[in-house]
Amino acid sequence: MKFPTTVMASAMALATFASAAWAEFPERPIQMIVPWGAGGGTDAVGRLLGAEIQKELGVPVNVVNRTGGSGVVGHSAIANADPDGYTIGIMTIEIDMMHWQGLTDLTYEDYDILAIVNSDPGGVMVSADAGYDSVEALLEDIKSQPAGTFKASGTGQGGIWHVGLAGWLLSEDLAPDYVTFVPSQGAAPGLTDMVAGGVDIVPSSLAEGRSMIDANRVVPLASMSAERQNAFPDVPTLAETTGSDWTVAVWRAVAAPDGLPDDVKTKLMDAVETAYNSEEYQTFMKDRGFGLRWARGDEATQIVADDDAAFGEVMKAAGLAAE
Amino acid sequence: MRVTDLTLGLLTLLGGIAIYISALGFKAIPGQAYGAGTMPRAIALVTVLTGIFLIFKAALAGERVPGLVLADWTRQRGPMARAASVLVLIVVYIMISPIVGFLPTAFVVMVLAMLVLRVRLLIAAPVALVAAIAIQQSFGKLLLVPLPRSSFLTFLW
Amino acid sequence: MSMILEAAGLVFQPYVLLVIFASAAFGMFVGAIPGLTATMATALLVPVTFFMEPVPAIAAIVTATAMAIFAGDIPGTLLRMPGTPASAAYVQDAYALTRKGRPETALGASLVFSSLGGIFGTLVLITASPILAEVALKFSSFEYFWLVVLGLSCAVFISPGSPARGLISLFIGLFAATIGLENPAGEPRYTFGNVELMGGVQFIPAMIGLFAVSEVIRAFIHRGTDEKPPPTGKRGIFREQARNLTRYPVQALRGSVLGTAIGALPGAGADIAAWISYAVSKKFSKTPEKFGSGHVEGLVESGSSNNGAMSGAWIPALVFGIPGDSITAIVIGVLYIKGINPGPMVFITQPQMIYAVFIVFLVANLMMLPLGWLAIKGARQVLSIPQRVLMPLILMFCMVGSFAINNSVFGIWLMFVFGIIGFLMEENDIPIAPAILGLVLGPMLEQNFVTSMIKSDGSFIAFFERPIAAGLGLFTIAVWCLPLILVLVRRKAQPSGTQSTQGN
Repeated sequence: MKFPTTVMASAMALATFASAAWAEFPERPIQMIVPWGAGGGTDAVGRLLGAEIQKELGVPVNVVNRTGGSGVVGHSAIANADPDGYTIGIMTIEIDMMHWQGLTDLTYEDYDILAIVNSDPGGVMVSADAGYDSVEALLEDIKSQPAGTFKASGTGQGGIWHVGLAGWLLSEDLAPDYVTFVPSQGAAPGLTDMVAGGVDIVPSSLAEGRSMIDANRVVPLASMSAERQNAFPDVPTLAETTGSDWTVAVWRAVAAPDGLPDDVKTKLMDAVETAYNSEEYQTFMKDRGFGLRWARGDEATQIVADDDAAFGEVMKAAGLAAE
Repeated sequence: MRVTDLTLGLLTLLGGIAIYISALGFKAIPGQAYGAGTMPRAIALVTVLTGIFLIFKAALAGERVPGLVLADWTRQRGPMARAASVLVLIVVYIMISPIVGFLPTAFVVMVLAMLVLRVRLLIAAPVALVAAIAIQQSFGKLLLVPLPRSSFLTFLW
Repeated sequence: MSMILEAAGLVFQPYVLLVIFASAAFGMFVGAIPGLTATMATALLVPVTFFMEPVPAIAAIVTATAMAIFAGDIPGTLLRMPGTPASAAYVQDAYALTRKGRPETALGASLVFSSLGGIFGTLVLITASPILAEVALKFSSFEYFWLVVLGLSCAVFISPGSPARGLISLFIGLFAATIGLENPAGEPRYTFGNVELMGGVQFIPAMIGLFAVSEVIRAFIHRGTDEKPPPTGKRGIFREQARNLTRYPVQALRGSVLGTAIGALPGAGADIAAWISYAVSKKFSKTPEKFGSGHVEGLVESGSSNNGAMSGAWIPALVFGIPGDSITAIVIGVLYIKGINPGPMVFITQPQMIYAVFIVFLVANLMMLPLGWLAIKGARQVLSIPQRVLMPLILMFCMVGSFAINNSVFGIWLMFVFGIIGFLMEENDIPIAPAILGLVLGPMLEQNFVTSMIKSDGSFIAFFERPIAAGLGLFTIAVWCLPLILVLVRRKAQPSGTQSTQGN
């Protein structure tokens, strides 16, 4: 077994030589890590942005799915990469939640957030068979029945829509678990289960329920946002109806490991901005019913930080945070 | 390396008990009777039953002492070493490829594996080289799999 | 009728046909490489389809996936490296045929009956989509729970040898499935603080380890051989399958029907379908003892079922925009981008689009035959490589494939561990296949059980309260009780003559 040792030794020697060379960023392919599976919304956003950034920077941007652990695996992979600009990733709202759950020590502070590129507010959706036409009527029924009568679903235990639901209930002076949350593996299985009669409410984003809404199987009662959504102009906000001031939205951001050199960071942010403003990206997001939102650098970091604090509060109140 | 029914039964029983004990620490979903522990406990229960069944069956067949039946090859040094070499080569690939990159590691691992199987070096080396380049091109280039790249052999990419 | 002509006009254009052909070749290539999946082929195509018209874009994806699914049977048959959990159901039979020097028989059956199952599923898609989708919408966690239990039961029933060993295998898989964070409670289990373990055990590396690596270890122990499989008789691939079709028409039809029906349920899919079909085939076979030793009957039925389910998965996808599997999830995204919003309305507002999609399905399934024939002819050459050269190459493919699934060396570690487990299991006559199914269905079983209990506030009766759930539940229980009753009846009939299955 002499061979591999020799190879190793010469490899080490060569590697030290090679690093001396320096050229302007980027000079080799960039890897974009997506913490969610191929085919999902986050994957699509990542692949499209990747293609546009590639056009802008002139080097290939390879989209790499690193899935599992409700996003923990992929987010860790982004944070643990070398902060040289050659590894970037799509960061999702879970970064503001999983550390409260005690799943990881990672927080948004472990990243250089380049930009927020999308945002979708939560909603209140019920099955068409349930016969509700307003969120007030639903809320009245929830209040008139004992705790646990109504069931909701649409994400995993402690996931974003679980927190969204708990936050809404708290804002209506109800216990955060007054509506029992049934964990599901995403909004689509939750919606299917609701239409099949398994649960009563799905508090996910309206974009996720769009096809079922179009099919008249699901009725959107409210949007958990400050203003009505462009794609659903007929759906009122919570504030307009029940008067609750609760808002929640998922966002997707492009992030890199903490500690990027300033020139690389600026170059990447510019490339992401061009990609965001490209016609392809804008049309795609509208066609899919995804909300467009742009915030760059410090502004984006502030949004992420605010959500982090807000979610921490609700999750503690709802018993979803680790002690 | 075949264990007898009684041994298999005992191992299954112990495995089931171990899973059950480890699952005691898993909490239920707040406010519910079920949660992370439900499934492991159910698995443990059926595993224990299967173990007991196997032990009974073995006892009925007259087996009293747990045993291990060794196949012929386990007594020879050659086959054991060759079996171990597969595992060693996998670990070598995992450890070394991130440092020196895919191409050289794959080449070396395949040549060594062929040498273990007594393929002549004159055949092994060119076959391994062609295979390594083919895999690197198809996976790395066409299918965009981020194979480990070395920091110095960049001219190959 | 004019709609169909208009749709045909959209499909039968040189450009669209060229796209279909190119993506067929691409899908064939990706699927035939061990460790790469149809989902991966689809994901890689998405950026390309951004620049196409709707019809060629969808045609590209439909064709590539259909080809990739079939091509996944090639490494399964030749090298015992199944490409999907569905093909793991019948890999034992297919590989046994290769060992007998008849890989064309196995691959031919996969090819022809995949194509037939796919065409059947498409015809159902054309005629009965809206009705089936309605039924699929009646399935909640209670119904899925029973369906999963039924699928898992099949794994135990079809495993050769003693049921106790099948159960051990199944529970190895179910236990491995509990590792990680993805459980209803969202609590990390058996992760020891390791981030990669939180992601759990992915089934592709585990499957490569259990089947292929254990085979490589065995070949190394016996130092491979230069012996080549005996040459086949010069019977054409298709002639032989025509005979299989006349011999097993019921099996082919049953597989197609069952596959399409199970595939139409968004929470089930091709995996459960292929296993249940294999079990059904064995149950009703005149020669159940031949299953697992290179018998074509099970291949015919579960092969049809597999591709029937692939087509079936499009029913909820097109009618309600509900993804049945990761492939349809990708396609729904592409449909939206192309301005075809899935839903009942699309059948009314853009019927020519829907018919065009259906025609593409038929074209893809037909084109599978000649292209598959070429692929089989080509792939067979792999077997003419001496084993002592081939095995090291396979080992390398195993490692790259395990890496590629999540682009992480963790996949190779998983493959390593499951390679050792698989080797030890086979040394002890513990079948491997049930472990794969346990690994795949374990999370579904847990999810559906725990959420059902939460919904019913802890009452078991709820599992029988809904009509479909009650039917499935009673059927599952009957499946379990019947063999026991039969055993008791036979015991009474012949009190002596208990045969021992001790193999030592």
